[in-house]
Amino acid sequence: MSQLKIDTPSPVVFSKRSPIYRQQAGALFAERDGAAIALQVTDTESRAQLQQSALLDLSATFRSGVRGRTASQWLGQQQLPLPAQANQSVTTRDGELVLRLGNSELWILGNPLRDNSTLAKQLQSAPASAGCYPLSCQHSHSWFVLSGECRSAVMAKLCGVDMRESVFGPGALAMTSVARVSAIVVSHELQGVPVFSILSDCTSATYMWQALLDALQEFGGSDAGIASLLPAN
Amino acid sequence: MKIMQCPLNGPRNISEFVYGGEVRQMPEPNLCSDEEWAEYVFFHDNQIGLVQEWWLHAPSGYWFIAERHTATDDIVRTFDPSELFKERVEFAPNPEVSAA
Amino acid sequence: MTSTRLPAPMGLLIDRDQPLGFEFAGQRYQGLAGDSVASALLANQRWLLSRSFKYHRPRGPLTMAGQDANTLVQLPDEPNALADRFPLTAGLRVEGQNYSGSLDNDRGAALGLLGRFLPVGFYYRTFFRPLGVWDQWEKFIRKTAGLGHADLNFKPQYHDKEYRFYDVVVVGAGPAGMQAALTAAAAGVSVLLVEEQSLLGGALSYHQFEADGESTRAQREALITQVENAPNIDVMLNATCNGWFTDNYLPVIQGNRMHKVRARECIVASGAYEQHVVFRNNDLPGILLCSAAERLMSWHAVKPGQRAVVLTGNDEGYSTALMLHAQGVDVAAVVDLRPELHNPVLAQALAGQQIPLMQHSTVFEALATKGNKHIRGVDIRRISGRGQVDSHSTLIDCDLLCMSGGYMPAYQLLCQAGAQLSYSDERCAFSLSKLPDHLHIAGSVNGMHSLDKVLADGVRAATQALVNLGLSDSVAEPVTCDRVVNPEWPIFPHPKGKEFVDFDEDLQAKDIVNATKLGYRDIQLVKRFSTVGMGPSQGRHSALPTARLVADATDRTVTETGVTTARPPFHAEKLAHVAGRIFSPYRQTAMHHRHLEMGAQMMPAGSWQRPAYYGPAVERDRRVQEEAQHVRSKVGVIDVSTLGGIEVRGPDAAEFMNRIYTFAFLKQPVGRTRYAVFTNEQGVVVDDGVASRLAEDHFYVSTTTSGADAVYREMTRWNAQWRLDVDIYNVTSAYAAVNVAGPDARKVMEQLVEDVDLSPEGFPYLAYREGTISGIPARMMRVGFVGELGYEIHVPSSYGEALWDLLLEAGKPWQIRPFGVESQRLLRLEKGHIIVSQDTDGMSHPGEVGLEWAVNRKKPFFVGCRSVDIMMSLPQKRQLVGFRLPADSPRPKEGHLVLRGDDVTGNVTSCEYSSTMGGIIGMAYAAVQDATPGSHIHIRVDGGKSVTAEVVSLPFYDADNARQEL
Repeated sequence: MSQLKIDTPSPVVFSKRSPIYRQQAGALFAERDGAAIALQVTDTESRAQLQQSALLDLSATFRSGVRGRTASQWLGQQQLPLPAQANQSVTTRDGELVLRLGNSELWILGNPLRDNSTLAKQLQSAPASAGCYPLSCQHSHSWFVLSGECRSAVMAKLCGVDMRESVFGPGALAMTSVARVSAIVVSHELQGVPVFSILSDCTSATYMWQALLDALQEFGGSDAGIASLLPAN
Repeated sequence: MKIMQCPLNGPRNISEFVYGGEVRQMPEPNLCSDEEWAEYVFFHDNQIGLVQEWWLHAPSGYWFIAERHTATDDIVRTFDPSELFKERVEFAPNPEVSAA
Repeated sequence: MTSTRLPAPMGLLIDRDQPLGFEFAGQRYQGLAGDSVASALLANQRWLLSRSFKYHRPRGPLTMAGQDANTLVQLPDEPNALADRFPLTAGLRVEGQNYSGSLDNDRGAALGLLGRFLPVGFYYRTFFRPLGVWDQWEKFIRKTAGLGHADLNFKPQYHDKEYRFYDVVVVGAGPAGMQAALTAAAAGVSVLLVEEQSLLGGALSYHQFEADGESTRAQREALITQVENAPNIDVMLNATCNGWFTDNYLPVIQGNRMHKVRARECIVASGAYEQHVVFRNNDLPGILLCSAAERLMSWHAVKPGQRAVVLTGNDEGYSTALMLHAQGVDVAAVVDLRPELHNPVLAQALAGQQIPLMQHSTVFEALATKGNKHIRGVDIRRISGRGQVDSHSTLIDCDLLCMSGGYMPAYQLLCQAGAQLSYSDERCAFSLSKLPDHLHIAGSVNGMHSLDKVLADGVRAATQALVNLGLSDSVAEPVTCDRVVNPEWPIFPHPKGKEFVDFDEDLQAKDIVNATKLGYRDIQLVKRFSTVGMGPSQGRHSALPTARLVADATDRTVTETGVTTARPPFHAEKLAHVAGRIFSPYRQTAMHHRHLEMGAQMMPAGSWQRPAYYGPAVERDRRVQEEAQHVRSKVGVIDVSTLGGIEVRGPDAAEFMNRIYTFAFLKQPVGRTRYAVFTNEQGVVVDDGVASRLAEDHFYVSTTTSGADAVYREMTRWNAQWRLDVDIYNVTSAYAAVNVAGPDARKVMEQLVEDVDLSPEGFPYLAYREGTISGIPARMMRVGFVGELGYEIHVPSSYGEALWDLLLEAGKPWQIRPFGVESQRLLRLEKGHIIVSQDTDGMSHPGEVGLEWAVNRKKPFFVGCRSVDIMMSLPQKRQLVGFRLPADSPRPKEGHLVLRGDDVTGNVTSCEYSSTMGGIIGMAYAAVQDATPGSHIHIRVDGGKSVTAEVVSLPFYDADNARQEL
């Protein structure tokens, strides 16, 4: 587990912070893209638990976005794949996620399991183009991941869109209401574990985190860190 | 609970949407009479039949138009505003200014 | 008390090896696992379960299926539980309801003797004369009215909700429902089968369709096995579909969860409610519907009585009689309401068991034991006409009367969906038609009463559903059933009354007729005047006889008369189910916890939480004044992250701003801010903010906290029409923001801001600058809202908490201190700045609130421009003015009226005590004649007093605006 750092910083060491870092007080953290990400919350966490039912906070991870007439051209210039249709996502070779929200809004989510500073630098220094406007999704939205087999059943308690695998498989994306808050739900995989990424307004992040945890309980799930997902060496 | 077909996001519970008023033709604000303007602002036809309405899909911020029957409440079709609004809209200048 | 049960195959639900002890009305009993409270009590020959609503008559079970309200009992933490549905548990303590004294000896029964003085609707004409008498009556009525008591100390259990999605949902798991589910499932679709009871089968689980019931049992088992083996059929037992909503949206309540089920196709196989016969004393304990007796025997193996009479208008009653006889009950007679013999085979079966059959007869009166506690016999008469009988009585002793007055379809869900009921005079029954698309009907609810037709109807409905889903080309053959199961007129008024049409509301036949005589002819008015159908059973048994009686009394057909509107919920619904998990979103800024740590009293602002002031609540007034003073004399910091923020970018950004807001923006210089006022199409001020120009094609504009979403939506809706080349982006949550204000504000900024010239020349009033604070990218504006040297700092919200900490640290030498919303409101009031929707209302145009200077009429257009022109050219009626009062005056509150003689000319919009100004200051709408400074206005304050305030010019504080422009 070479990705684990021995010295685990506290989230407040960084000026950039997840809106819910306090909810995981006591966890072991690591630096991720200039903020702290939880590696491990309890001793008993395991990959098996994540495959069953767990909740992760990936808000520290780098993300950015663009939208406009020429957004898809700009994306191509960054050597990033464009999802074929509106409301779809694509996972890159390097484990990054490209979201196509509607027709011409594109978000790029870094790989939460590794450092994304190269990608961040590449995208931030890329020349702007007319008709392509940068977005502040790093700061406006929190990023939670609901993992495991029970994820569709958990969402069924919070969301009126059918998210069973048969109709909401990998690559599917929905902009909808979760626990009465607007959210983007993406179906994809993290290290082979099927997950839903939930991106919603950062100012209601604490509320959303509590709603998700509450819905998880029925399935024996709880929050966890990313360590169990890190690729073994 | 009614299902609304969002042209961008597909069928969704109507609770995801916000009504935005009828689609109406604005008279030229600087050229019409006071009476025409007041009618535009305050009067509604209120007939039985099909009306075109603005609807917003709140989670995605997407505005579209729905054609709805005011008696049966059937939503006959929904479509992108660009079907009706293709050209950039310009406003006639204020005649008092031009006259000066 | 011991109870003996009937031998198998009776007792589908019970476990004979699991006795359960329980208590009812203070007495101990024993039942079995699988009993309901009611079946356990009847097994112990305890029949008196409740007292009726008005007359406090003894009542016992009528349906044994939760379809009536005669069995309402009080549980330790829940009133009004249906004893015939509530499962028995060990040690359960149950009480009766609605009595004075004891359930068995209820003093309230005396009301029954006063029946003559309590005619239908009596309460509309009593209790209020002479004046004042109501206060006495109220106390009495409050005590006697109501059923059960609520424990106000109860702890709510966790309830929640769940969405489910199916191709086909079948409501009701009787033979029609199960068959429909199987037919649909065979085509591979996903099916949900919803059943109210705790077992599958419907009538197959209690009725005997042939002599010994063997074939019925086999049929039931076969269907259940198939249903259980079908992998694509989900079964929900003890689940009630409580309504039908648009597009087949079905709330299904099971346990503590409400399932919100969306069905592409829905098949309602809800069955039919067996009806009672209306005759005197038809409500006595010991009088059951035929199906109730069958349920009691089949499900719970309870013998319903020793000696029975069966009163029926259909062949089904004959089956009941034969079943009772087979289980050892002495059936003294079968009384058939119909004029002629219908079924010779069944008649012969009766004769074979020596059960007398009396054709074309009815029970005219049920005779009671002392205190009306149980039936002891019946007075049978031959029927001589519609609702009329011969004078010759045949008296038969009995302790059990089973009656079947026909059936009424369980129409509620279907009528909620818009289906219509029509009555056939030939069949004497209601049927349903005009179902909306994607909703189907099958089984006895559809008028099918032979088992083969019921099953065929299930197939037909499912086939139609499959055709709709595009999975079948079949033509769904219509199914018809000729059997007539309803007698024409099972209503026999008695001179002494007490022939109940509605058991819940204690309404007799004459009550219904009298309502029509008082002029209430429409069925909706009859319902509201008499309360028929308004009790817990919601007309399941009263709708049919009421429709017949009202039709007859008003000379109309029964179809024309109809039944009252069916509305959800279908069964009484707990608020906990509707509320569920209670999703109440709240929003917090990035600095939220710092406010808590610093002792802030938080207040809601829409869904946001904001600090009102810092310090204990008892010190509120002092703290607010101190915070304000501190800002005026040193430096304070307030979290303004909740303000809306919108980025307007693109070649048409300035043109867009120009069209949205009243001011001029085309020539706004880069690096400057400008006040932005938003009017609606009526010319009313609906929002305001500050617009910063970051570049030729880039504006960053703020909105009020509560206006953010609405302004953003209006902007995007307008541009969907205008098609300007602009991107409109709601960044409210992307930025955290603070306002650092006070004479020492610049000194604090100098400690932190790395790369911006903060001198008065380098960063003048109303300028916009970008820089960094400890590496955090910051947008900064000089604003004047509170009237001191002030900087608004906006940073990406992930840095908000760190920024706050840096400010408080850097500001220590100047005693920087946080201030909250309350002191900010006082500070801005001292400067005469309006707050939209506090100082403006639904009619305030810019001229009324001193904003003419912010309206540019040279430009071609802004939203509402023509309306503003019109409004401002009319004679003005009112004006928002500033006023003062001495510190010791009663303080006017927001909303207090401004009067000119007897005329209301306006109202107070803001008012506070200001220690800086040494008195009370405020803003109010006043008549234009009183708007000039020096005038006086009269304000009506609390207690009807009036104060006279002096109108002064605004601002109250620092008239030259020198302090904010330092």
